[in-house]
Amino acid sequence: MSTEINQRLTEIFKKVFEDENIKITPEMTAADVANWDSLSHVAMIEKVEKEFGIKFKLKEIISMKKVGDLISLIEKHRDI
Amino acid sequence: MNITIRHASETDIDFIIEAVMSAEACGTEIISYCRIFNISKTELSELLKSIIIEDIEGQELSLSTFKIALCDGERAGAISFWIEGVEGDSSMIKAQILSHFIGSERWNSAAEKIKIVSSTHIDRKKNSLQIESVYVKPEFRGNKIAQKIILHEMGHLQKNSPEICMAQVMTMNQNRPAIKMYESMGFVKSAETSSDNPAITDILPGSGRVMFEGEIKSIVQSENIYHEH
Repeated sequence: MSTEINQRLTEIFKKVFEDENIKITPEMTAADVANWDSLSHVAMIEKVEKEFGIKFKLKEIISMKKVGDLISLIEKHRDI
Repeated sequence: MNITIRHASETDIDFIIEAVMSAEACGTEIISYCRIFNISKTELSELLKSIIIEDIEGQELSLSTFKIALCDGERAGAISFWIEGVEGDSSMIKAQILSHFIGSERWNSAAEKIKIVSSTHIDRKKNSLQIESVYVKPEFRGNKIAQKIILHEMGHLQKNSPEICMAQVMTMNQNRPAIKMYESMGFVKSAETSSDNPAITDILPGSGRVMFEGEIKSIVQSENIYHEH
C-alpha cells in the first residue's frame, strides 16, 4: 500500500468519521468504524475524489467492499 | 381471478415507479424522497426511472429485484426482493446511487434531513431475504396479492437457495394495514426505532420504523396449512 495514499486517506477518514486516532488497513470495512454510515460514506467518497482529483464510476463505488478496494481504485485512476 | 407472478421487465417501469412512490407514502401524502431532496413527484418519477433502469442489485431500487403480479393479465401488484449483503450493505449502496443520480449539490443540501431520517435506520440482517416496496393497486386490494407474491418468492428461494432461512420486511410504525398483514403471515416484530425530532413527520409518513422478521420455512408452512383448511 502506498504510504502517500495511506496518509492522505487517513486524514480524510479522521475528519469524515470524526476519529483522530483512526488507523486504516486494507481489510477495514464500514463495520469496523463507529461513524461510518451511508451518509458519511457518501461524504468520504466525495472527499477522496476531490483530494486525488479523480472521479469514480458508480459501479466502481458500489463494488468497494473494504478500504483496500478503495486504495486499489485510487491507484487505478491515477495510472490512467 | 387468475393471478400470475413474473419477473419485472423494462415495460413495467411506470408501474414500478407507481409502486415505489405509493409504498413510500404508506397511505399518506408524504413521499420521503420528495421531502428530503425538495423535488416534485414528476422529478422523483424521472429520478426513479434512471435509477431502476440502471439496475444495480442489492437494494430495492433495481429492475431485477422486482416481481410483478398480474390479475387476469393486468398489473396488480409489485414487490422488490433481494438478499441482504450479497452485493454489500443495501443502505450504503442506495445512498451511493441516490447521491450519484441526484447530484452532490442536492445531496449535500439535504444532509440535515438525511441525518434525521438516518436516526430511524434499522440494520438489515445479512443473508436474509429483504422485502421492500410492497404495493397492490387499490382496485385489487383484498385478494391477498401481496401475500401471494411474497410466498411465491419464498417458495422459489426454498427450492433454489435453501441456505437463506430468514426474511425481513420493514415499514413505518403508523402503517397499521401493513403491520397487520405481516403479523398475519407469521412475521414478528424484531426492531423498532423512532425519532423524537418533530421534523421527522414532515419528512417521513411516520415517526419511526418497524422491522418484522420470520423464518421462511415456517411462514410458507403456516400459509399452506391455512389454505388447506
